Amino acid sequence: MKQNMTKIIITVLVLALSVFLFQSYGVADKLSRFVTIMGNITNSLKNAKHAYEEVNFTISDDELKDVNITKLAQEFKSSIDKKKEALVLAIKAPPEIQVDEIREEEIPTHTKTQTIKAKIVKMEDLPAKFKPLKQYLHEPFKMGACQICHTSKNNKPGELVKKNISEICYECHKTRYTKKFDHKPAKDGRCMDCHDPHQSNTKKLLKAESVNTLCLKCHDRKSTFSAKAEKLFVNMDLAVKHKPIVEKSCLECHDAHTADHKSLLSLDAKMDLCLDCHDTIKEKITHAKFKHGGVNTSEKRCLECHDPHATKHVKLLKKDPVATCLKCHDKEVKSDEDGGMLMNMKKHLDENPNWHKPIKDVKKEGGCSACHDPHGSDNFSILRKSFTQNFYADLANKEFFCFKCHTEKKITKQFITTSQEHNITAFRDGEVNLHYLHVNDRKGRACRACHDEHASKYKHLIRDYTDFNGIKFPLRFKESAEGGSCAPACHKEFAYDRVNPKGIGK
Amino acid sequence: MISAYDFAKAFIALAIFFTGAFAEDGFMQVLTPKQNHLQTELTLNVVLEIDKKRVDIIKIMTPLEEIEIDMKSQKNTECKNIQLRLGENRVDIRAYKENVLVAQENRDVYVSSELYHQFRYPPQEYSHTYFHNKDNEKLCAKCHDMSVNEVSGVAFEDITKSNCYGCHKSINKEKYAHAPSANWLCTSCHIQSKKGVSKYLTKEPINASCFECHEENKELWGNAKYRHEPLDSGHCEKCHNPHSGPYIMFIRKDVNLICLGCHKDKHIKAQQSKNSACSGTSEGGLCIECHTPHASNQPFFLKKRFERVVK
Repeated sequence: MKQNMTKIIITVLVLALSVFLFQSYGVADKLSRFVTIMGNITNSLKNAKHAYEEVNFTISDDELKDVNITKLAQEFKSSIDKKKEALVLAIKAPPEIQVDEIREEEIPTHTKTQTIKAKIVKMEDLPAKFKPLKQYLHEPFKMGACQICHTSKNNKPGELVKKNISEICYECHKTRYTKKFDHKPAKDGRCMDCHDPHQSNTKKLLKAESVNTLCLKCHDRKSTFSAKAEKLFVNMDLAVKHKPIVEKSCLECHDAHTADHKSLLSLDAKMDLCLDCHDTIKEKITHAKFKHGGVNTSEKRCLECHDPHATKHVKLLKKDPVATCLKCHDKEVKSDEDGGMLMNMKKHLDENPNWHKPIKDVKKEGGCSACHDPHGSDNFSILRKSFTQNFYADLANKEFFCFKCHTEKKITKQFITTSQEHNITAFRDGEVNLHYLHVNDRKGRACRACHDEHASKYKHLIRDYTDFNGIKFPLRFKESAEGGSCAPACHKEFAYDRVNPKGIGK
Repeated sequence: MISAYDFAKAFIALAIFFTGAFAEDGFMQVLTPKQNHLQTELTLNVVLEIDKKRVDIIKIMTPLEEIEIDMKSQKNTECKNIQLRLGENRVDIRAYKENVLVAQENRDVYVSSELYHQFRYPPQEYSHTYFHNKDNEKLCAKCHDMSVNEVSGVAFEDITKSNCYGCHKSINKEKYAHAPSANWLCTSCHIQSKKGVSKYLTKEPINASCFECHEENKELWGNAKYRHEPLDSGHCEKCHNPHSGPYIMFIRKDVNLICLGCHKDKHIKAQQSKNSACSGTSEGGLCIECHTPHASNQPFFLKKRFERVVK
């Protein structure tokens, strides 16, 4: 029994040890994985199509005889002809192609195998009119493969393979110019209008010394477009031209063949295209607190004021700086800032003969844009610098816009004593600076309380009416030889005189 | 026995007497002011209907002045602006023909004022009468344009063009004038109409009209802890003349006197005080140097905390 017991104990111990080892080394897992892998292998061997036993393919000699190689060749050729026919049709009526399809120009390669068959014209055999050779040569011309385009059936020189020249071009230049808008010559297949088929001194085998001269051959004011198509003209006689026209080429903006936007432009001509280059303006237009409706909500956007090619006026403006603004501001216009109505500036200027200098002296001072930023600004009324809308203003903040041109001393100097200082202000009673009295004493009145910043009937741009609490009060300004008088709402009629002081402010 | 002749004589005498009486009435008729008229302004328009054939000179006598009007024009109405004093005024209007008094009428007019204790409460018989009602305006319309010709939001370039100016010009003659008044924008305040009484009453209380322009003050004073009674009751016109006045800010009296009109006790106290700042006359010091007349967050409407004011 004892022996049996020991045997049992030993077997139990061995079993326990083996189970422990089995589990601690993960033998079971490994075994099961091995089994599945082996299973997979056998399965795949079983199901594989290229399994040896399935390969059973032989061609008899009879079968080989039936295969007509000539027929195959004919079929192949006819399919090519069909494709060609389709191409011809495509030229006549270009198929609709997705706008966003990206065009990659296929530059044809003329391998030797193609040209070997053709009859090579040697350089010295070329007609005299091609000599001397120019800088850029058309690849077939360079190789002397005249046969690609010309036939030698007749003795006529220059007889073409096909009647339609564009067909010959498209044979190799497989790109179809079929975006939304096409250049008329490209659409009509008049490739030769711009390109020389043989050689040129200009890249892309152009028929002119440069891209611009080529374009202007047609798009010049002197050319033969009908009067209706006025926008197709670029008058190069005008003094101010867009930089790309002078320094680069028309192709900076336009595509010569086809484009997705009107006027053969890659982006929308009204604004997007302009802002592609004009970064700072883009920043202003998009991020300014106060935006100009003329740019942001108008129909023609940038083109509302600017001409993209050439004009007589600065900044490529269509009209002179003031007239450009008055094109829209000749009526009451709704303001984008607060929805209020902006005054009819043209009427205001017509009615009031004394104009603020920037408006009067447009050439020197820049017109309206001397004070307003037409592209947008962080200051109200798209002013270039801060200003007040109120009747009263804290002029301790000397950042006022007016002082950009007018001296601050006008309002800071209480007494004007010496004759050298007389040019500071003429609004004084003897030595007393009446500007100081109005602006710096107690409640400061803003410049625009008395002055109209645009135009006035009176001298010194004195307003006829000042707005106070929504009521227009007349200033009743009268000028005398050495002074004047005012009788506004603020006080009764007070007179001042520079020579014989009336005692104001005492 | 009363004969038919006597009866006829008596009838004729009676007729003559009555026609005579009517005739005397017919010399002159005072259309305005009414008897026992009460007002707060110191000027008054007297409107007379006169038979020009029977009267050649009109004399208007007030406690302050004597006015003579020659009957040169052919109109049978005469308007005259007269000056009054505070309290009772007897307006004596006499019509003469070749230096003979032909008609005489008297009108008692009382000018009350909140600022003087003695004129604050008028005798009972006096009552406010207003002029601009339909019946009166019909009479005036013969000569005057009685419509309002203000353009909303735009003041007159030439104030004499205002239809109000002709009769009311004297209200703006003082040195300091309130802008809406000086520019004859009368309907910015005179907008209330009471049927049969007047077309151009002001709002009651008036401060609603004042704060339309003086908005910032409304907020400033409205939020203050202590507010002066006239401000709180909305009667700005108690101290300020909304038209014009000889003192700055169109106050009705000199700055200290305006306070002492109500605060009489302070006057006596101040006079007894040794502190010259509070002597109660404009030579000593101004009340408004320490007190604000409208509203304050400090007691007694002091401008700053008491210790700081006294120093």
